[in-house]
Amino acid sequence: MSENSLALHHVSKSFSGFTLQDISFELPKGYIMGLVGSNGAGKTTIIQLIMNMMQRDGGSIEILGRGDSVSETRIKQEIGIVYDSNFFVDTWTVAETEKVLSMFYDEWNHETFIRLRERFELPENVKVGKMSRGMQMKLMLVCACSHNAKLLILDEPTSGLDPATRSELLDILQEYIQDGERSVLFSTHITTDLERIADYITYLEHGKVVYTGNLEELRAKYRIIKGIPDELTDRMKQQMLGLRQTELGFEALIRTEEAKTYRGFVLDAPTVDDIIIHIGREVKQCPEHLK
Amino acid sequence: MSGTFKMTKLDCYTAKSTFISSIAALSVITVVLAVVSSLSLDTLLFTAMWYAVCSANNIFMISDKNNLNRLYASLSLTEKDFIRGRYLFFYVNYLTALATVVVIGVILAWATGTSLFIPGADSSFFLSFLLFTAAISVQIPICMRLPYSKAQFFVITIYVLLLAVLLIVARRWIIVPLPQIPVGEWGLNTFYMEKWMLNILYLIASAAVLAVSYPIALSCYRKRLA
Amino acid sequence: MHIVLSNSSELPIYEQIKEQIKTQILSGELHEDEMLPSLRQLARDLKISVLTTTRAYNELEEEGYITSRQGKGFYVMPSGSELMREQLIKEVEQHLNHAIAAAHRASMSSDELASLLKLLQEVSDE
Repeated sequence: MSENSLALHHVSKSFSGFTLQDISFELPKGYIMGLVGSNGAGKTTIIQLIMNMMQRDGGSIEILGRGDSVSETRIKQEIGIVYDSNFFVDTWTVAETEKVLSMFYDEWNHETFIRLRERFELPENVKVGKMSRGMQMKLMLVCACSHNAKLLILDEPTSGLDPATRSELLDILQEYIQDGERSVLFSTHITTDLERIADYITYLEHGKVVYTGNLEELRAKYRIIKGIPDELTDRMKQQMLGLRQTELGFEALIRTEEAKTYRGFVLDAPTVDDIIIHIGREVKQCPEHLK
Repeated sequence: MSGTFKMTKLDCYTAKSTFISSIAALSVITVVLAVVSSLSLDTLLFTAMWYAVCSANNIFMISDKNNLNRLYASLSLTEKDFIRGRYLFFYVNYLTALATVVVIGVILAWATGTSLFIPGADSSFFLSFLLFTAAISVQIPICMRLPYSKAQFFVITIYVLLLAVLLIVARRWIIVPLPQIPVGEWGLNTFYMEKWMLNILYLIASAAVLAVSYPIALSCYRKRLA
Repeated sequence: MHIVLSNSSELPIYEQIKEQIKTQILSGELHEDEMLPSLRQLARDLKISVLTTTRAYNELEEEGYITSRQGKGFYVMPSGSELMREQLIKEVEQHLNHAIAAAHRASMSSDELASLLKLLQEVSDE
């Protein structure tokens, strides 16, 4: 019996101009995983592959422990999804959206829907297309949470939202995993959102997994090193990732074990953004460094 | 099976916003045609058939515009449910159009004091059913494979062909049941067949057409997903 | 129990939680056998990840300050517990080592250091 809500093993997909290679990661039950990477790194493609919107070229995907094609459609009952833009028919009202969706879910809970709808103050009879972006996201979220889904997938849900709404969303996600059985996969390029609440992280760059695992361990793995240009040695340059040099000084990402050997430099703990920026820069400068 | 019905219901809700205007437009067209040519059941049936093909196509437009493939992917719908449900949706449109034209026809007949029913009406129905099936059997796979804008070229061709048929019937150039085509065109001889046999033949032909079209539509849909 | 986290602190978040809980246990604010908030409730209240609270609680358990009861949650250990005492003694050792090193730099003799210690103890007893 799998303890993972979601597991990808060596998934690959290529289409014109883009290749997703050897994607593997696991999301254990009861936790939140952030899927991060620059635009075009492959985050949305991965979500589309999970939702079976396109066929993968290779590898396997297990959702809630099940990976066979027979249960592939049934499993959708247990997945709640929120996209970066409204995916309902824009002429539907909130009430109609519920009517339609409830047809497809055995465990649709009308009381939960009403409760959440009221919590978010969603108007019953306004057409979805006429609602603000924030309300559209809330509607998608309410629907995703109203049928006892065990896995919540969000694809860039916070882009374009004000900070208050983003904060509300994060609170809902933490509430969602309270029982320890449900998980969240949350793709975003606004990393500050998940910096605090994400337990796990999968970092993609150019269609490959750069890192997957514990978020805290990722942050512990690297340090930001800063110093004056004169002190830069060739050996240092080799070890550095995404080096940025000006007349005043330099700044780079470096692995923590290697950083320990350097005395007298400023060593800071990196944020996820720092890691993405530096590794992204490194990949541009020397693509072969991508392990 | 129930997945198919759910899909059809979903399509109905999706197209709901255009429903009233659709019925209204059909009513107007029916009246116009009846006035311009003749108030015959043939005309009515073929109008309904042609109109249903055109208006049901809206589902593809709405689907494209709202990017509904994301919605479809999030629901527990098999590919087969999806395709079957879509076909059934077209037939629902057909029946709705039929009901509309019959009601309009009856009202007009009562208003003008003419009689509506002519012999051979049942054959007209089965033939229009066959034509409808044929039209959607070509249309649906095309619309499954191509994005809406690209599919339009082919779809419009179908509309035009069907419209031609409709006008031919409306002008009473041929009296259904076919085949008896006016001299000077194909010069086929008429042949005699029991009416009910012809009806059965139309039905079987419809089924055959569907049997060919359905798997093609399914594979077109899969190709689009790949 | 109360926890106030600071983003600008040098300490990582799980360390801050540990320190604050330790302080409250030792000061008696958190009583023996008192139940702590669950991992997930704490994570939600503080808006941090579950793995962070898990690490804090696990380390506190290893250090003897709290204990987990199967299916029930985490509870404060009695202050007289062996493990806790060992931890505290280790802390005393650490501080004393710092003091010795500083005394060495200040060129203090062992006697001076010992009498300073005695003086300070008397002051703190008052």
